[in-house]
Amino acid sequence: MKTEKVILEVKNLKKYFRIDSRHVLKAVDNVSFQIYEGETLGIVGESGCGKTTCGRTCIGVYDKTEGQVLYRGQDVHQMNKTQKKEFTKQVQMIFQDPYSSLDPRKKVHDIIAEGMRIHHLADTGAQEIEAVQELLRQVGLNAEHASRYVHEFSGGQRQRIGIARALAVNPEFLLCDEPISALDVSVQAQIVNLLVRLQKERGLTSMFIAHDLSMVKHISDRVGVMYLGNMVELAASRELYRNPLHPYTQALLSAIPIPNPEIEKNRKQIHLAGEIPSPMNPPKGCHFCNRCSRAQDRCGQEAPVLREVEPQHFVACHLQ
Amino acid sequence: MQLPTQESDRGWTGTMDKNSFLRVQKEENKISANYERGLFKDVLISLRENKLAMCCSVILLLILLAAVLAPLSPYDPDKQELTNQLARPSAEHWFGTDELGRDYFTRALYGGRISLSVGFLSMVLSTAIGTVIGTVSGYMGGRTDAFLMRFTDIFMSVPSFLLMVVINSLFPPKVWSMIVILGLFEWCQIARITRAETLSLKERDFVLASKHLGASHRQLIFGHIIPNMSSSIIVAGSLAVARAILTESALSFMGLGVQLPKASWGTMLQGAQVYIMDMPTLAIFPGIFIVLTVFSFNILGDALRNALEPKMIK
Amino acid sequence: MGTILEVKDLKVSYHTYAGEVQSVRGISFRVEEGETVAIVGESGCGKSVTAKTVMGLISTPPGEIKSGSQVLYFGENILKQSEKEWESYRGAKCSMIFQDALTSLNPTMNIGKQIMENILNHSKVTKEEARRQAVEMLDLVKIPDPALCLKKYPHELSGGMRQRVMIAIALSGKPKILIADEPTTALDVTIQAQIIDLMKDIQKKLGTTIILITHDLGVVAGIADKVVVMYSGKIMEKGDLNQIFYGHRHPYTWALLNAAPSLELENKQQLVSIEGTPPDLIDPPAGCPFAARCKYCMNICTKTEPPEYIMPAEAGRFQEEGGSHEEEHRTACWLYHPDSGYQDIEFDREAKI
Repeated sequence: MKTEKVILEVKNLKKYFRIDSRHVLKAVDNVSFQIYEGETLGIVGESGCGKTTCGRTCIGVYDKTEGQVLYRGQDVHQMNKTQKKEFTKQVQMIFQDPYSSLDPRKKVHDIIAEGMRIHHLADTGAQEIEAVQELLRQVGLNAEHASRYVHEFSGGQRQRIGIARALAVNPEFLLCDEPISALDVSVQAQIVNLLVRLQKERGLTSMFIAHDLSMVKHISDRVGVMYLGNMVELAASRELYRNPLHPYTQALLSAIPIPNPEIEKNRKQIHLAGEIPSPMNPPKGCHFCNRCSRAQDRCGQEAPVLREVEPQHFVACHLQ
Repeated sequence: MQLPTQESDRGWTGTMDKNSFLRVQKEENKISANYERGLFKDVLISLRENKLAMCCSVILLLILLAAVLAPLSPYDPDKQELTNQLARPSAEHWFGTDELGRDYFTRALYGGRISLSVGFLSMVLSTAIGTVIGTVSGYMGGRTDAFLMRFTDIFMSVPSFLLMVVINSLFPPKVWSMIVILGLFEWCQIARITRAETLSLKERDFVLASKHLGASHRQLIFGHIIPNMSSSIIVAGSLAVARAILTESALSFMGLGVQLPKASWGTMLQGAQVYIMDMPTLAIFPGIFIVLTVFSFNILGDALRNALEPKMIK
Repeated sequence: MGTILEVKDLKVSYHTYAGEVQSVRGISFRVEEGETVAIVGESGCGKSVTAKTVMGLISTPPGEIKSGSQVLYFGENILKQSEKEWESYRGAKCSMIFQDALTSLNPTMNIGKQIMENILNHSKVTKEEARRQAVEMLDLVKIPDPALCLKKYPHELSGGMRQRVMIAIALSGKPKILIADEPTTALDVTIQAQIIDLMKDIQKKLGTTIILITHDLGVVAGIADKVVVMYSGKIMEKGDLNQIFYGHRHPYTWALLNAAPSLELENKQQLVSIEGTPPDLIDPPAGCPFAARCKYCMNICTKTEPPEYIMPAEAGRFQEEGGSHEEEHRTACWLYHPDSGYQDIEFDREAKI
């Protein structure tokens, strides 16, 4: 349930990586948006768009290069040790790779309980066991799984363990960094169903990053589309699908393969010329101008700003 | 509507009864864990397949056992019996006697105690130093890393063996000082390995996850990084033992090892030089022990590395 | 247009220290010349192993192609070929492209050399002629500036370009069959669309038969003529495109098609998910491999493997008049036994109850 209260505010965020003396990788290049309490914001884009970097910078995993990220009014990158510790209780993360996001040397119980131990959330050992059992039940695993090692589980089950670990400290904000990309199709549905259910039950706010637009649209209230470090469009998920305004969003939507032969054969696909440029060398002005079929002179000189062109529908494009 | 037709009989033989087509009641939320073998079992199985590694493990165990049980020998390794010098191997003296009439088999057993304990304990020392330096270097990064690595480079570029020769000739070593000296020069390799592992481990998602749960540096290093490096450390350690035994033997052979009458295998080799033409067994027996032990440790180290490697990734 | 490839009762196992992994457990299907057949399934279902068998890339040991398996290329069982015959088969009669172009291309050779190597291996032409053909190939896969590209190295190209180069190399021997093993899984959506279009274009121009291995049903819908659905080493259902997408009869096919949220679906609705995980291939269960996870499992499903049933032609709007393929739509499921009582089951309706 989306409220009107802003929980995370991103202002002109830039994150650059210095590769060597001559090259700078502009992963996130001037991105601004807000996340409201209780909503799920989906972020999509192809490789090099910077969505993972954006997500991780927003929760303080990476340092920022420029700009500001405010969580409940507090600057995420200017926190002292105590504030940071408190912050880790409120904001948690789910990772993409179920095989590298869990410590292979630890039992499931210890993995899930780690957060509780660090923050002293359980007073006695018995309380801890009870809490872990409850979490396992909530994510759809059996109680006896707590005493096993990680390598005995499949990808989908590991992802559930990762979710349980994140939920153990009772966060209010969850960053889901491509949590289903590494899973099989049938297992993806399991995890998505789980996340939707948990979010409803706990009233979580979340940022869901993925490259599968159909999954993102399904799970999110609003969706932001990123391209080469910029956010080019941001709207309610149904609105984005029905009425994409940015040429890149239009091309992206038309490229998604739909498992329906009638539709596939009859739809007109928008083909983008060329390849995605390297984030080390983005085009001047609008980053999309060299592949846009409707580019004008202005596009190559001035970078467009994300503006609200229709109610709650933001686009960064000179053509609007 | 047309009914489906059966294409082929897949050779099934079964009796169908009225229950055959009843729906099965499924339990809710029945998720079964997909069992793969545990890491430890994987390693054991892999080792068992490697016949050579199994042989070497058995050999090492026997040698270790023999060294531990040395006091059970009826002979005193230092007792001289000048009437029975340079006896050939016989039922009484399995390895014969040396130039002072001492039972050679017992001397070999006691020598094994020294060689093995120097080898093992110096490995423990060098592994401890190397792990600490490597982990700190890899974890801290930046200037600390650069400084520690240059320090390691300097240590590695010193011709350690020559330096040990010099030190030992100036200060005749005891067993404990041999251990210290060997330990002080063998840590560089392990430091490099642990640094590399730390560098890669600290970027792994599970370390990031723990960091973001609020774990302190200490909790990360001791709780996550070091346990995951343990297999590399074990492998490096087994190779370090082999190297240490060889080095100790070499130093002892030159007369710069533990002082007489205590003898390690290397010292025994030194004594055997003079009699090589008349009694080659004096050299052969300790030599075989050295070769077998070092070879076995090397093979085992290699086999462990092979067994652990693919498992470490996934 | 005849049958170019026929797989009959193929069984392939791998012998590992953990036991015998039965990757493919008796599958049969036919491919007509000039059409595109998609083999779909999740990871571990055996589709890649099937593709490798057709290319002769199963190393024995540890792999083992069981006796009784047949792979007929224009009627001839290629499994019985000598090594020399395999060499002339690979690249010239049947070619394969892989998922990750970066690891499949030789990083130390430039593109031109890699294409020319394949050409010179399969036909006796001069180097000049080979070079000309290489440029022609690169042009066919729509690489801008093909002559310049000849001198480049794989790491200098982008992912989409590399995939095109891999297709060019695969086609340079002028094979009749092109096997594509998850060719677009590692690519971005917009690049994926380009590559799929390219493959359709090439098929039109050269009449190549394409065997596509994938788990993405959207890609299948765009390019395939026939679909084979595999699970745990066996075929669950096979038929032509419309039959599988609109007239599917196997519970697994239904679940697979519904696991991906359509863009039409209401937000945050519970998706159809398949609980559980695929069965162990070392000790496969008796009966239908999907039984443990199937919502419609019956007692007999856990005891005996179902035979293949031929589905009657649907009198639906997508029925092609006088379809060129006389291929039946087959499902391996006990629901279609005459005595089961569930022959006209409707999955969607059942799910909503």
